[in-house]
Amino acid sequence: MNKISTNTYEFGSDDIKSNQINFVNEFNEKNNFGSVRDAYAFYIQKILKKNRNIVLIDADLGTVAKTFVSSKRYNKQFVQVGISEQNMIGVAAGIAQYGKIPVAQSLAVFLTGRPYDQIRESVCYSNLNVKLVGLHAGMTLSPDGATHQTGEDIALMTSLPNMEVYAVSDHYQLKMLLPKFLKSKKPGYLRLFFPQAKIITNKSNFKFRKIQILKKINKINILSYGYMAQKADALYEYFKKKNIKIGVINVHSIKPFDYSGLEKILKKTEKLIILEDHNFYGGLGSIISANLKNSKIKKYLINSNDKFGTTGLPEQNLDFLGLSTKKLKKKILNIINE
Amino acid sequence: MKLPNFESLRKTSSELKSIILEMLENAKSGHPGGSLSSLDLITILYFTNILDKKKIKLKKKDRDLVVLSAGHYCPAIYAALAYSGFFSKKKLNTLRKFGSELLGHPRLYELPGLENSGGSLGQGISLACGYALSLKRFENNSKSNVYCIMGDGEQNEGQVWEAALFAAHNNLDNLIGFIDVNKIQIDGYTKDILNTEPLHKKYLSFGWDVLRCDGHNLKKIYQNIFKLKNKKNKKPKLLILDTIAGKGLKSIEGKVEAHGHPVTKELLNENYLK
Repeated sequence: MNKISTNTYEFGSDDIKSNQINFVNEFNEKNNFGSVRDAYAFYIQKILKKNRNIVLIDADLGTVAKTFVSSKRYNKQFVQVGISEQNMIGVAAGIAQYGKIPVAQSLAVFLTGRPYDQIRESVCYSNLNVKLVGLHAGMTLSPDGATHQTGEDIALMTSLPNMEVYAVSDHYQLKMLLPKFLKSKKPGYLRLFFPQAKIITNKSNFKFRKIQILKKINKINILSYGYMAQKADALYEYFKKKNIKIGVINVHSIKPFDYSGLEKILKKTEKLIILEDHNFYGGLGSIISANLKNSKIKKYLINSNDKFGTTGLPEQNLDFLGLSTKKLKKKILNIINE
Repeated sequence: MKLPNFESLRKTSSELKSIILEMLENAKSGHPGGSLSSLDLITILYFTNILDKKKIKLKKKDRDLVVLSAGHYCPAIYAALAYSGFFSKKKLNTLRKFGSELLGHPRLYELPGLENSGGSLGQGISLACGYALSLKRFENNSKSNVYCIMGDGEQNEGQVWEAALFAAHNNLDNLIGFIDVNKIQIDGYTKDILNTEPLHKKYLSFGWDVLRCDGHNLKKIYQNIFKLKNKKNKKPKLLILDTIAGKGLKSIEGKVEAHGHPVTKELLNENYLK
């Protein structure tokens, strides 16, 4: 941990360094590198303009979501509930029942945990079309500490009948996914992450609710979503230099999950690593490894392993949880040599 | 203002009471306490000119909405909906039975006229706020109102107070809340479990327009709802109703046991002497 200087930390790739923690840059969709949060603020504004049925609901975190401009410009489509997530979900349910499409946004941890019962009864049990956007999910909002990190959101949201669960791995994927996420008539949760990241998905074909192969399937493959897909990409590059090829599969639709797509791929493989910055319990790894018919494949689940994160830079926190690039290299090497 | 025939409404309320007791007896479980304490309010809502029931039946966006936040009062709502033509009365005896739409606690869209899922307390008032806000924002000069029925025990829930702040902040004068103060909750008298009184002072200080009356006086309930409905003063409205839990079942009336007391033949004989 001491090797990591306090003003520099690793992103997905070893080559990419940045000393910025507060991202103030304007989002430019043409950039190969950017924050999914900034992209969300950018695209949601366009969507609010285009679709007057969308209503954005904020619980006093518009500064974090960078949706201030949207809230002023499209004020008829904006509702501020203050710091009251339980009420936010109920208000969203009422707006959905009226016939609009509410998008309730907050930090993923506050959005999915605190009003879980409201999401369960007022939204999912009623099957109302309420959309939830969880910002800074996973383990990378690390300067704020574990109170602001989320290793439980996938578990909580996938456990709810009728709820669909999505995650993005870069801002290009968000561009592709967001309109489709909003178009689905069912309750939905979208998981966004904090650090800036490079585009890793655009070269593959995006098919809604289907898994995407980012790097050709091999004997060993990493299946991942969100910020950990960035890590998978970096690991691919690292091992490629050592003449070891690993496949990388990206998931944006965690529920429903593309089991048939994965089963097809797995015919050509021996080892599957499911990598996520989420707890083991109720994470994608535990969900799909319980459901895969193909039992010959060796499965390796890498996750936050029932631990809370800590305070520090994203890479330091990931290191603490065994999910830094450095630790992942070791873990994957062990799997390769096994 | 042309007043409805309160004698006839009293008969309706008595008839509904018998129906509800039959339903509960047949179901072998359920909540007589709140179903009976709120019945006079529910009678006024569904059997006078307060609601535009046509619009509700047609599911118009610009409709009056009745949200039953205290979901365990549902036998009263089920009976009122069936008797005001939303669905067949024959269904009523299926309450709490496997395969019935008359679920133990209501679920949105299971039955015509139901406007929310309820069971976990404190949630209906937020949904009511969301709908009331939508009517204000997206309907021009809507005359529709959103009504939300809550219990006094339910006021323990923090979400209720989040919603109370929200409603006042957003000037939701098309929202009319009711609190059925039957003074009991499962484990005891509300004043002993977690005192919520003085409710009128609390809501007044939250910026609501508040009236309070005897919740079994049909005329007063009716007149107060009209008073609140016609006031466009940018304040959410609240009618607090002082009621008796299990009203009409003399042996358990007003007692803590009324909340979820099994309605048996013996209990009915004891009280009714059919």
